[in-house]
Amino acid sequence: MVQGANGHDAMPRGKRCGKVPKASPTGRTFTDDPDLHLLADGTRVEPRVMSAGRWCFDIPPGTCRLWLMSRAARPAEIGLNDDPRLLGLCVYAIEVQTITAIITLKPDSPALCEGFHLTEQSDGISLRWTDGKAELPGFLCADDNGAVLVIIGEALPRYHRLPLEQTSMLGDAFENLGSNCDFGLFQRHLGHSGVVSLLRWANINYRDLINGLEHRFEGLGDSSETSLIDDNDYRLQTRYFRLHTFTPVGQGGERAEILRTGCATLRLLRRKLLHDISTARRIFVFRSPDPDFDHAAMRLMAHALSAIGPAGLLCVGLRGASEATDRVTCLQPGLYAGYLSRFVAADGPFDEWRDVCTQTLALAKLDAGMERWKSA
Amino acid sequence: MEVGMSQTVVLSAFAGLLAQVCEQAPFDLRPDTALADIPGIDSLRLLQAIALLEENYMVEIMIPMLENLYVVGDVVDAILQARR
Repeated sequence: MVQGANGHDAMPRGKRCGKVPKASPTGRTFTDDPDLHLLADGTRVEPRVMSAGRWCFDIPPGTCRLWLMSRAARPAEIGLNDDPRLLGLCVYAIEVQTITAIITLKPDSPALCEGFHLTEQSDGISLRWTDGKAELPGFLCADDNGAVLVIIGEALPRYHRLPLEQTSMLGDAFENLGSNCDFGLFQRHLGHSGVVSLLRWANINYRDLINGLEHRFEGLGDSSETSLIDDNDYRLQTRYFRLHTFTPVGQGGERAEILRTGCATLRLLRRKLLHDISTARRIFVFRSPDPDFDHAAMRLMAHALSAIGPAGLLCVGLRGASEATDRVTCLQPGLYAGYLSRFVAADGPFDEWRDVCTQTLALAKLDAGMERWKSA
Repeated sequence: MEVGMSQTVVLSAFAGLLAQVCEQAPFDLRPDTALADIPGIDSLRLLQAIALLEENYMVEIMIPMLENLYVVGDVVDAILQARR
């Protein structure tokens, strides 16, 4: 087993590695392809030959800067182990073959700096993880005749399918508070199936959401306060909102059993929502077409949220093309108002959602920086 | 009524509940079976089965574990480590 520098099992064996899941039903989609390639002066170079743990590349003649690129993931975030580092490829050796010479770089070479983690030992073997974008030393790529680069290494058992900046930054950074599936469609577009959340399947207006947050959704999942409504599918009617079960009416067994399952699920999802707000790992997104959902209402919602925990809140509404063009404004630290010119269909377009989320993340980072500055 | 909580018992109970919520014939699950490979499963069905497991065993799983469930054994471990 490869032991990480900080004691984590960088390449765990056992049940988790026996089979690479295509996806976690609770989260993201995965691949076992590290997408290893070179970036030679900005041009992508695919491996010419790949075999188990060995990748061969032709370095274009006259290349000045060379990067070893791959997918990367944090094992702690993809269910491998508790290693929080961003890991790309585990490198055992780098070899460059030119017309006149063969140069071999061992993992502990001081020439390997940018994008490489510290050298580690596993069963007496030296290795070094990249972080997904590692610069190779200039003397490997200066030959005008070109060269062959051989990487001997090992990939993680799985990676996020899409580039990290898309899945982790935009998919993982937000959690859906309702009021319908727009944001979920955007997350699906990113290849992220969305964070499991109480309100991901709920139709809820902003007044009921504020009320629910103010009461911490007390009583949710109590059988005495929940009833089953017949629609296209059975729906759970609660004090705060109505929730799809996605069980067609007439199917899924006895009504009493469907209600029991629904109540148990509501209780679990309520606990998760309160936990997620209190740990504030994500920014919560509430989207509403209601013209009454103005800045005052957004502040009320943020106030109700902050009574539970310090999570950020992005409120998204519609705005006409003639109005100001800023996609996102910061109303107060941790509260962002985002605007779209239209909501989306299942196949998009998602460009405006992408802009809103990207700008919100930038503002949130600024907020976090200000907080650190104040506390210092 | 609380029943014994060995890995085998929880695994069997989970398989039964999954079959119920996914409306499938009983599953033959192993700890290393990938959740994503279970016929008919989606995030809601998985949560429903976990919620019913919690109710049956009168436990509450630790919420951070919910987002790190990849194989059947992860769910069984989550129940075995849950708060009573």
